[in-house]
Amino acid sequence: MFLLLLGLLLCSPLSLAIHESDVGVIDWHKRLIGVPLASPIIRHTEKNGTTQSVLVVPTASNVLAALNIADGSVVWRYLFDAADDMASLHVDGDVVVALSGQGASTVRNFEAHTGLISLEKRLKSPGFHPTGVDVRFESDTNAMFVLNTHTITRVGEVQWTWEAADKSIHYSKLVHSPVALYAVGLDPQSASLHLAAINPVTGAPIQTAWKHLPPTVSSFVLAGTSTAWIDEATGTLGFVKLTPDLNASIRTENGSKWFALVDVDLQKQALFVGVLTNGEARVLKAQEDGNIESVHTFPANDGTQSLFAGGLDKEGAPYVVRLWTTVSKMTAVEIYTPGQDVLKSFFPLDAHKYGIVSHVAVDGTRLVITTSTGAIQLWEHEQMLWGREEALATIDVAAFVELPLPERVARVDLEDESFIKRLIRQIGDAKDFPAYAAAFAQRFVTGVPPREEVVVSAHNHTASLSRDAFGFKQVLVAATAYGSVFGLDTASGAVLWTRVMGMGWAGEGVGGKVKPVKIYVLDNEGDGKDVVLIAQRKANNNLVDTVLFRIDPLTGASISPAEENTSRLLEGTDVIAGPLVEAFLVPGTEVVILIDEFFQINAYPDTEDNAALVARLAPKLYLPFMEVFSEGPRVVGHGLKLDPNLSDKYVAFRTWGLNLSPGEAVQAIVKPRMEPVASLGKVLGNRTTLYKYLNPRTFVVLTQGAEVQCGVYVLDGAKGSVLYSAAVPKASGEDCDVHATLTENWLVYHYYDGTGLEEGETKSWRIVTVELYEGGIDEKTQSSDMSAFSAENMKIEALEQSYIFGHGITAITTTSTKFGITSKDIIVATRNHKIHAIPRRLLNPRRPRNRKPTAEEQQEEQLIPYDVLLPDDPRRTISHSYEVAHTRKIITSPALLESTSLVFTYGLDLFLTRVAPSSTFDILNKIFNKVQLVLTVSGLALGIIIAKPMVRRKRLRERWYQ
Amino acid sequence: MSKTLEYSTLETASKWRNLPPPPGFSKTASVHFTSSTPTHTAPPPEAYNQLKEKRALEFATAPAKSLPMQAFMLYMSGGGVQIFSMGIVFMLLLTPFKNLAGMNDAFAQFAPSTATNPRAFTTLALQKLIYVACNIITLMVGLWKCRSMGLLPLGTGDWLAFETRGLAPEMALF
Repeated sequence: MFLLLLGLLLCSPLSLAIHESDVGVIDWHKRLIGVPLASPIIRHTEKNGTTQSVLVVPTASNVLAALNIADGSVVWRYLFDAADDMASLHVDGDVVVALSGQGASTVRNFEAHTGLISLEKRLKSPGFHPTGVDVRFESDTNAMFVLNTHTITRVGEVQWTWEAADKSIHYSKLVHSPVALYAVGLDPQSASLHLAAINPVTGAPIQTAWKHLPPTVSSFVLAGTSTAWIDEATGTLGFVKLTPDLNASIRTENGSKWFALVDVDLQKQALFVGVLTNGEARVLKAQEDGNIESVHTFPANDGTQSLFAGGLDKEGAPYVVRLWTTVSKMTAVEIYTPGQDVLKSFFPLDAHKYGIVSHVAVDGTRLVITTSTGAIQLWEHEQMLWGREEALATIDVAAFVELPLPERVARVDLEDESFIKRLIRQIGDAKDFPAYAAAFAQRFVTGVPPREEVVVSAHNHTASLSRDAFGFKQVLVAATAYGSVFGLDTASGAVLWTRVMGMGWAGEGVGGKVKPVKIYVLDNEGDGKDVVLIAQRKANNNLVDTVLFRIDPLTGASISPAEENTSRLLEGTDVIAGPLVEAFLVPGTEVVILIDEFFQINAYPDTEDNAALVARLAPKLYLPFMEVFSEGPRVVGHGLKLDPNLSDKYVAFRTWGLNLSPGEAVQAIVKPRMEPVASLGKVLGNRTTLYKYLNPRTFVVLTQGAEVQCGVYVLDGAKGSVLYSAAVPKASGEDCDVHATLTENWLVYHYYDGTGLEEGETKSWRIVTVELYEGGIDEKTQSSDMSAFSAENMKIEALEQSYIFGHGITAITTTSTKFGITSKDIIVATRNHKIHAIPRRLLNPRRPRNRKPTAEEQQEEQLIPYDVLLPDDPRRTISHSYEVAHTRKIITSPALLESTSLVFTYGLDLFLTRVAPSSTFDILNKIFNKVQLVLTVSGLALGIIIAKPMVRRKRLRERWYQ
Repeated sequence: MSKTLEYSTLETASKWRNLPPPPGFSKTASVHFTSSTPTHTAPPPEAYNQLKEKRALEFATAPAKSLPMQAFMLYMSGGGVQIFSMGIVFMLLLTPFKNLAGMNDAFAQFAPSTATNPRAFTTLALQKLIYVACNIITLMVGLWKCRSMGLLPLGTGDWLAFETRGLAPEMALF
């Protein structure tokens, strides 16, 4: 009966698309660009009297983006394909030129302020990785010269291609002058500077030459039409003026000891920076006559090595900036512009939060810096105007953390509270009653809940960090590849706190990198949760350690070792002196098992109780994980044993391995989603049952064969038996691109079928849904509590169906709810940058083929006839109009409401939304007419009050007179 | 007003036999009065008893007689689970039990004058058995309707929620 009622609920039209009013309320989206690879380039354009300024940034995420310098928002971005690597970026005027692809052969021109592509062209390229790429413009004709190693192409009205006669000569820079176009390249092997002068209009070579340089010269700088270099052995500055006949002689400057030359991207202004060995730095200018003169000297500084950058302001005046960190940990800046005083300022950049400055760009007196933790910031004098946390585009691991109850509810200690104390507390609490009553009345009468009380709005940043009524407000803890950890508010996407993982012993002088590997959410002693982050620290001396950070998700403070001050680096504990092989959370406990390179079991927290727990569980624990052998990665199952001769810890030993055909290698392991199981079987329309195969040890292995197929295996983790397997075709020469997710007895996988060449077949992406059952109708084996070694463990009936899906995907998962009663949707991130939800109803493998479902099946199971195509319904796009680019992973978390699941996707962009696969059956509809209900009830109550005495009198009269 | 005949008022074994006389009413006078009138106005007790048995039989078969009517109502109410059909089904399911619970009381009025205890089950046993059978038929019709509406827990699916499983002997971690 309850099932039937539930069925009725499910029958009601499922809410398919999100309402427009919910956009930005239930979801948020962060558009990111990735961590900058080079200094941002600042461009100003006059348009209708206003100046628009953008920062053009190439990033490590293979994105070319322009940021608005006023507020740091993304003006436009261009996402390069993975196979189309961005090789080089040049900006001139309003044109951004990006070269990409193999051999940097594809050239694209973007308008700097709109991102519109004005040109896309394939040029001749050397075919190998280019050693030098440069682009120059001819200002009067807008023609563009592209240098690629030993080829120069002119793109414009007149087009030509010039190739060096000697293909072994590699040019790396171009200089354009009205009389000639010069290509310059340095060959350290032959200690020669190669020069070529070409007619810029016709492409005819004027002259090629080479000059002998000392073999210790490793780089050169172009300024005006001069080229300059430093001989590192002697510290002399050498330079030569470029003339069309290339016959100018090399001149040297021996007056000072030079250390390095820095190109500050002011070639047209003929400015560059030379650093002396005594720490002084000089701004140098190449004169028309070929001489080099010092126009300014920055005095020697204390602190770190300086960064130099140059730029032009709105009026076109050149600026040169020097930036360094002083001994007192301040960031010092000197800005030089010809004809004015040097502007010197200090600002506090928190090294414990942002690391060190990696690039700098200057726009007048404003500075744009990028840091080693991936932040982009705009500073003016001592003030930060805006900042972006681009490390969020590189999240490695992330987890949802439920918030604790509000303090006033949580602090009550009911057990040893005396009567008087309780009375005092309750009187104290009563002061909140008027506000509560008012809020209640408002919510009840108008149907509009006070915002922070019920539905958390995305724009509300002020609400305190405590659980909301429906559990929509949680904290997302995300650790990035740049060693930073973020706490994000799921309601708004706001960054609650930022920490940078410390280096431990490697911090002093050695240096290294911390890479987060695993994240777990454990209960702490109170009613809250802690986040345990396991990371691999690779020191620069090649020592690898496993470090564990235990963090309070609300503040980001470390819990062990305990810390008060969160403004320092986040320090963890070294749990394993060596790399980590695998880590597992023991279900039902708060214990994490870490496996080191000797396969020893280390329990965390390292207490006697936990050691006893491991000893108790050891005989029945099995740990399948991936190991790399000579023939490739394999999945191997492990048992635990204690051998006092070998180690005082339990050691994992191999028990089984997955047999694969020759050449087949394991690509990935897909872990099952551990969630509560609401029902042990699937009830069919005729009230019979298919019992689900609920073996809790199943997991999925994806393999890649040598030839033309990929494998999908469902294995038993204790015994290694193959419970289900499928061979999926792949195009030869391509990598398998199979994505799978497994929850309860339900496996869904997605692949590209490129083999359908014959008539009636099709090349397409396929989604396959598989449900494993214990047998036929009403057959049961009690698989969920059966031993892996029982003969009946292999009694499985798989129902499967395959569908054509319109998109390639990059990530797949299922929704998760608190009790698992709500049906599960599949959430996929497609290659066209959208997030889709596919209802389970469509992926039901019992959808009847070639017949109509019976009335019972229709009514009770909502079966619809099989259709090979999963229609591309835009209402199921939960990311609606957002572009959610390059999603790598999707994680879901239950809310307190059974109907609702939180979905967070990360990759380049971050996107969070709420989904209700069976519609929000546990909250009243927004349009529910509460006023009508109240009026009806009060009208009835009034009627009773009026009629009651009348009826009583009538009854009495009847008794007397009958 | 009800038109049922109160046979029991004529009956010595009636439940009002032991009521005290109303004030100012002398029992002896009444006895005297009745004894003075000859008994020919009252029929013999056997005839009464036969009449009552016949009435009891009619009463016992009444539920069966109303069945066609109820079947028609069931047909009209349809197979869906709605307030109307549910009301009829509840009526069909509840009345047999209500009837059986009040059976002895209901048949007491038909008890023959010879019966020592008109509420005993043995009084009018045959009629009561018929009454029970007729009520069971009504109940069966109700159950049949329940089944056709899918409300009877007959399939394994209806008992699935009560099945439990223990923990597996082995554990695999991922």
